[in-house]
Amino acid sequence: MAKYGSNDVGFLLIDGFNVTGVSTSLTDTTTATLEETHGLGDSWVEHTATGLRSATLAADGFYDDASDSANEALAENEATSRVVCYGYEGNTIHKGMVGHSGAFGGSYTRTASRNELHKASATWTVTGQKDDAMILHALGSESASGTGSVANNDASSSDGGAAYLQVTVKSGTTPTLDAKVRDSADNSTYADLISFTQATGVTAERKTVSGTVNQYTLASWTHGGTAPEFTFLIGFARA
Amino acid sequence: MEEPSEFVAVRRISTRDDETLAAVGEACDRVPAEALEWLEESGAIQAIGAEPGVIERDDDGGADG
Repeated sequence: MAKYGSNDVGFLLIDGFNVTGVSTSLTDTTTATLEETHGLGDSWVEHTATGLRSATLAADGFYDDASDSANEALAENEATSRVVCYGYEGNTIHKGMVGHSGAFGGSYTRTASRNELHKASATWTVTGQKDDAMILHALGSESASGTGSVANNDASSSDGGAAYLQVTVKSGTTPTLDAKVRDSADNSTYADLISFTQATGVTAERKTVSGTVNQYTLASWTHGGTAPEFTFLIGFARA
Repeated sequence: MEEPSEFVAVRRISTRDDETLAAVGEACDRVPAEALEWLEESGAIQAIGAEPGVIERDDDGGADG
């Protein structure tokens, strides 16, 4: 067991926009929907879980009008579904991260106050699922095709999973990135598990798979184009 | 000389270093024999002539910036 602090927030990414450095707080809430089930004659209120859960995500930070920063990511996108990922145990392969898809920015607030820097805050209501995932490629730059190190789950799982890709920076001439998550039962032979849509720029995607996910997983990426370089994150969550 | 495989790849099969052993639809001639059982159980390969399995893949969101 370990405790973590603000310096362990490895990234906060919204559809490929990296807003980590201009964010000052992040609150991630998951709520189970309960219904009162007490009746006549009961002395105490009773609740029963309906089986539904919901998630919200709220972030505060500085207003920043850079083309790849918070305002560009958040302004006028209140009704747009977003893919949001953040790392709470650092930006390190095999550490924990959280992914949200179908996250609607229900509010975006800009605040100007005397003697203070302008602030910006956003709240997302998640329609869909929140995934507690593992980082398979830490947010970082790659200039050549490659494969990440293996994550060993100690056993296979049977309920599928969800994978996240966030691409924050690209360079080169007509660069392309084909990223995938692969799985294996013997850590020798692998099968493609999830292949992301080919990325050509800043983008984000969540893809799911059903059925068996074998014991070992890893991320692989293939570059195309001339002098391609991408900064990206890949995470995977077993269901 | 490799034996013709009784299996065809439903998903691309590769080495840990991402060298392709069998592309989707190809026979698994180069896939190690000891991996065939778990690959079939996972639905990554299937016996030639078998009914195609269903692998669900959903794209739950994405955005281009």
